[in-house]
Amino acid sequence: MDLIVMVVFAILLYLVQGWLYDRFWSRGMEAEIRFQDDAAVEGEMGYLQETVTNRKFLPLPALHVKFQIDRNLKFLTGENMAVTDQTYRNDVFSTLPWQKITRTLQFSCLKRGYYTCSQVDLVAHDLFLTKSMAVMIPVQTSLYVYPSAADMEQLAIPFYQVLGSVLSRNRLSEDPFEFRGIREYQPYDSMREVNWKATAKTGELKVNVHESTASQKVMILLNLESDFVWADNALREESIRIAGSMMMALTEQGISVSLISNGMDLFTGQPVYLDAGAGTEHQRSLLELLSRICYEPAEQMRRFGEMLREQRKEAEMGNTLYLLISSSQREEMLLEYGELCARSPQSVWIAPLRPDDTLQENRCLSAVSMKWTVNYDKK
Amino acid sequence: MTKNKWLNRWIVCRLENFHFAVAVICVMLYAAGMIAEEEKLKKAGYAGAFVLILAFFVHKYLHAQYEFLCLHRDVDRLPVGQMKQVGGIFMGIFLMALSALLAVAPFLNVEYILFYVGNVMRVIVQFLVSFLEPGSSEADIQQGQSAPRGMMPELPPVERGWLAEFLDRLATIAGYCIIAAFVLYLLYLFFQKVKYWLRPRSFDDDEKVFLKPELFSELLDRKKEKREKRLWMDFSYNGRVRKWYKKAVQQKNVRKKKIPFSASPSEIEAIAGFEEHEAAQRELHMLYEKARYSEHGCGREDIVRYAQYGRENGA
Repeated sequence: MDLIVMVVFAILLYLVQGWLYDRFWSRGMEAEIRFQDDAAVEGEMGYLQETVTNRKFLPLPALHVKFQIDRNLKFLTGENMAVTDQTYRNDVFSTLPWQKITRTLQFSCLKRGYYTCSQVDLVAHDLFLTKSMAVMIPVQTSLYVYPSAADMEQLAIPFYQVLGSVLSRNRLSEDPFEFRGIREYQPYDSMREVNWKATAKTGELKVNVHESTASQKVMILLNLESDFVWADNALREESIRIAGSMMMALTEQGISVSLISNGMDLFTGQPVYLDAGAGTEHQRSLLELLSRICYEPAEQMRRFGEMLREQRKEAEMGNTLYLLISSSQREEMLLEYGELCARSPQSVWIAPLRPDDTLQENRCLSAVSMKWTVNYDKK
Repeated sequence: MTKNKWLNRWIVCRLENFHFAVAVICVMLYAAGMIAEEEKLKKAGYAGAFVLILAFFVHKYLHAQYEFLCLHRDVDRLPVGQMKQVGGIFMGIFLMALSALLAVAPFLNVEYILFYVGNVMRVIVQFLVSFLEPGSSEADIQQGQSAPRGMMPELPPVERGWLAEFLDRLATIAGYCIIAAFVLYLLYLFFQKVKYWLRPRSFDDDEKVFLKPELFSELLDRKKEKREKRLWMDFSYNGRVRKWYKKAVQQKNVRKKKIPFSASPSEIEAIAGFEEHEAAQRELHMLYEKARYSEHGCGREDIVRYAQYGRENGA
């Protein structure tokens, strides 16, 4: 009889621990996935933090934290993940009562984009690792991966071309109401510009310098269409990198930059458009927009020629320099661009092309055309 | 895995058949002891079953852990050390609880309990049957009420002197105190050992933080709240001002009107019947608001000033 009682007690205790885990394992259980930074740059490293908190007296000998993330964020270590259409990661934790564990995972940003993780699956086991219990926890974390910088050697030529065009327009007329500074008198300066107070103080003739009446604006026209059935995504990505690098370089010179593209915004599904602006906040907005651009499916992209036609109607006379970045050389689109450039001479067309491709300069004579070579090792 | 190869082999192998065979042997030993009325055989069978149950659960846990670790061998940053610590601690607690239950089992007098339960069931069944067979007598219901064998015989009472009684009780109390102190000391040693074993150890690169259990912080908060409500224990300047105010309100509230807990000082004074033109009451009102709601409360100057004001105005 005592033997039976012993066996019954043993079985009861085993069942009780199983019931305790079944009933209470998820109480006070918190899991969070968070990117350490809001943004990273293509090709650089980023960090993902996994935090598991066990706010109760029941320990968890083995807890699986499973989540999925875009495959373009490549984790550096571990076989505990499957990479197919996405990266499916499965991490194991073991927590004592009232313990919080934080694990930091390093990954490499392979491609620009906007990456999110929206849910985490937790799978726990009881003390004897026999029972499995699962729950899904929603999380909200996102990461912008900005396009990397374009080749600075190739960028220098179009950049100085654009900068020179913008600065030369500034000298055409000055705004007498916008005071910028004082400089020494030059023979070509008018006597009306002499600042007599500064002259009396310094003993040398000094003149006022005024801001330009023309606001310095550059509009980047980013065309992601392809002339071929099998589009070369490397050229599209390079076009986005060029747009990002040019924008950063121009805004650092104090030039307002706006952006129009037929690529679609991931959030709205509409063609991308950003008003002119300068400063760090504008730079951040532009980089985030470039990160979110998508060009698939191609049939949903608007024809860039139509967008240029609409832009032509709204264009202000001579105030804006148009920088076209397009590997597509469609005649219709370049005609529209030509019409636009008629109002804004010295505009620039950068054409990212493969080494074997030819630039059809004669299709756009109103602008300065430049071939941007994209080597075959770039994907 | 351990350094002992036989232990490792025991962990790795699946031993269901072996455990079953040993269980059968223990049962047979116990049954043989019962039939032959040999206590030694019964005890051997019982002890064997006791050890087998403990060994079974230890093996089950270690084998499951071994299989889990093999299955997840390639997992990045698998917390092996942490898993062993967590599993070890709580397997230890499980085994202690199991040992306590198994050790207590023979003293539960299960036969006695089952006998009484059986009696109750029999009575119920016979009562129900009596409706179908009205001829059954009450004597049948009374059947089988004798106690089973093995009950402890009652000791005859012994007359003792008061001194012997006193010494006996004193010795009993002293004995209990010594046992309690010894048990507490053992518990203290045990928890020190556990605390040492639970010391922060870095098994891996994960950041680990122990949280303060909410139960304790909730209790502390509640205690703090209770402390704030006990005015009679508050001997600070704020407490004195509040007591003066409370006394003044009670004196004015001759009709004993009910004052809501959420009432503001102005509402309290209106209900109690304070007169607005009385300077002393205005002074007390301002002092009370300062004591009750301001960040720093009243200081010694406020108390001294009010006391002087009261003396000058005969309050």
